[in-house]
Amino acid sequence: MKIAVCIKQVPASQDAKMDPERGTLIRDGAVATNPYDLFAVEAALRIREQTGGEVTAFSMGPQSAEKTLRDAIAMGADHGVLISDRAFAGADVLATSYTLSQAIAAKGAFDLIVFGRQTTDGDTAQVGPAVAVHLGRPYLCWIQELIGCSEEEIRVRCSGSRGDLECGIRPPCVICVDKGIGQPRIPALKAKLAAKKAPLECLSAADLPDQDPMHYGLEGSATRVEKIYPPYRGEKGFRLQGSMEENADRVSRWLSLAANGEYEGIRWEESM
Amino acid sequence: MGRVHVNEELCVGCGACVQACLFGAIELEEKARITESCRGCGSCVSVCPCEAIEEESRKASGKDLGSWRGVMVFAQQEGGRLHPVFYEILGKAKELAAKLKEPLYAAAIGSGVRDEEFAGLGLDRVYCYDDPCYEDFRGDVFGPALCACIEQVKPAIVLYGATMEARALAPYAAVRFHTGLTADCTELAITENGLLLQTRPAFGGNIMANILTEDERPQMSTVREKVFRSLAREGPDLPEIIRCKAPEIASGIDIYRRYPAENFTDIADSNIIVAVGKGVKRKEDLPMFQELADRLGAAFASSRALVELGWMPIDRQIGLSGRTVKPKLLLTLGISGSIQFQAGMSSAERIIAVNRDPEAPIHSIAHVSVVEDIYEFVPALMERLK
Repeated sequence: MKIAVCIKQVPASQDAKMDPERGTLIRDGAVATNPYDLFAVEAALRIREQTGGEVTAFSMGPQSAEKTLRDAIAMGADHGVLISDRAFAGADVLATSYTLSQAIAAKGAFDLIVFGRQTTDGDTAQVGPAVAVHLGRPYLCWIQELIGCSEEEIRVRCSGSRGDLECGIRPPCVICVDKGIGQPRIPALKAKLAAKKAPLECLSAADLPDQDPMHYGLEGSATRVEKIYPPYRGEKGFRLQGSMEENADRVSRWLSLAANGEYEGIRWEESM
Repeated sequence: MGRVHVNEELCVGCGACVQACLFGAIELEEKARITESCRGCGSCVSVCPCEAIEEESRKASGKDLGSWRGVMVFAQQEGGRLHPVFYEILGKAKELAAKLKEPLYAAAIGSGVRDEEFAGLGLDRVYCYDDPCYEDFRGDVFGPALCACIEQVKPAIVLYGATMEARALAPYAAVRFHTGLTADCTELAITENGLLLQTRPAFGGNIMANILTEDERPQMSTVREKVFRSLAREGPDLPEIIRCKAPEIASGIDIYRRYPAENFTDIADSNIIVAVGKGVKRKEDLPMFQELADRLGAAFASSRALVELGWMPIDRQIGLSGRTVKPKLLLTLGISGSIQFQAGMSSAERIIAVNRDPEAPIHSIAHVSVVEDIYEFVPALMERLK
C-alpha cells in the first residue's frame, strides 16, 4: 500500500506570549514535531507492516520543517517530502489543506493518507478532513485503535459522542488517528544518524499541479486574523496574605461550607 | 484584508509600522519592507503617519454575499433527540440572528428525527434530513446532505457545537464552499459591517485572536460545550419543518458495530471540582490530591499537562480541548492557567487557585489566590478537613 503521512513542525512550548509594550508575539523559537503526528507516523508504519508498501512523510512549512521529516524517517518512513515556498505563508486551514492535497497529488496515487488528531498550535483538527474532501476521499477521525488492514479495507475503532464504533474504510481514503493506536516507536541512535543524511525532496509552488497563486497562502485563505490581544486579566479576586497555616484555616473553612452545600454562607471577602 | 505593501514614495522610514506589526513581518532599512510573514491584519496601515502602506488588491470570491442570509445551527441528533449542545449554540445564534435581523434555522441530519424536539425555541425553519443511512455519523454521507442544505438555504452563518461528529463534518462543508471555519470559538458577535466576529485563543498560547471570514460564505464556527448558556424551551410552538432528501451517496465507510458506552465521568456535572496540573511532580502523588477531592465530594479533574503524560484520563481534562466546566467552586492545585485551560473554566462561580508561582496567569482570574506550595498546602487542608 502506498501510504502518505502528514506531519507538522510546531512551537515546542505552549507559552507563546504577547510583549505588552511592543504588542508583538514573542516566540521562543524552539520547535518540535507535533506530538500527535508521531502517532500518525506510527500508525502508517504499522499499516505498512501489515500490507507491505511504503510510507512517505509530507510536511508543509519553512526549511526547518526538514527536521520533522527526518524524525519520521528515523522511525522508519521510506521518503520525506518538504512542501515549502514563501507563497504558502499565511495560509489558514483552507489554503493549508489545499496545498497539502496538491502536493500529495503531485507525488502520485496514494492509497492511504494518515493524519494525527490535531496540532498543538492550531488545535483545530480540521486539516485531515479538509484534505480528504479536496481529494474526494472518504475519511474517518478520532481513531482509537487499528483493528486490521488489507488493500481493500482498513478496520478501526473510532470515538463518537455516543460511544465508539467499529468501522471499515475503503482505500483510497484518509484516516486521522489519536493516541490509542499505540506508542510511537523510539528510533535507535543508528536510525537517527542515518536519517540526518537521508535525501529529502522539496516541492515548491512551481511543482504543484495548480499553478494559480491565488489558491495558496494568504490569498488562498478564507479567514484572516483581524486582531490579536492578550486576554483580559481583570483583578476580580484577592490574594491571601497570611502565613501558610492561616491561609489553610481560611480555605479549609470555605471548602467545608461548600462541601455541605452552604455556598451562600461563604463570605469571600472575609477579613483576616 | 490581503497582504499589504509599502509605497516607497510616501514612506519616510519612521519605523512606526515595525513597532505595530504583530507578526514581525516588517523590515526597515531606508524604507519599510513587508516580508512574506505578513498575515494581512492591517495593524500597520492605521499607524503609518504618511499613509504609505497600501493593501494589495485581492481577488473577490465571486460570491454574491448579499444573497446569503440567516443563521443556521447544525442540530446534531442522538437517537431522535437533540444533542444538548444544540441548545447552547442556538441561544447565541438567536442573538446573532436578531442583531442581523435575519432568520434562524436548524439543519438536522439523523434517523428518527422528532419534530417536537424543535418546539418553543424561536426557530424560523428546520431542514430535516431523516433516513436510516444517518443513524451513525459518516463524513462522506452527512457532508453531502449538509452541503445540499447550505446550497439551498444560503445562510450567512452556520454554527456547530464542537462534538467529535461536528468537528469532522464542518470541514467538509468548509472545503465544498471554499469558506472559512473557525474552531472552538469562545465568543461570537456581529461587527458593524454585519460580519461574524469569531474569537478564540490562538498561536498555541496566551493570546486571543479575532477572526473574520470576509469574502466567503457561509461563515462557519464551532463552539465547545458549556461555553454559551443553554436556551430554554418556551411554549409548544413548532417552527416550519421541511423534510428534505439528499442525493444518494455510495459511502466508502461501513459501520460494523457499536461498542457499549463506557462509564464516562462527566466532571462538568459536579458542583465542586478539584483540578491538578503540572505542579504535581509524580504520578504517585495523585492519590493525595484525589483524597482531598473525595473528602469534599468533588470531581477530580486535570489540566492538559497530566493527561498528556497519561497520568489522568482525558475525560477529566479541563480546557479548550477538554471539557468546559461551570462548577460552583473550582479549586486548582499547581495549575499555571494557560489560556487554553482558562477557556475551560473561566466561568466557574468561584475559583480558588493554589500555585506557588505568584506570576502564574491563574492568579489573575481566580477569586481567591493562594501563593503556596501544593505539597505543603494540601496536607494542611487535609488536617483541617477531617
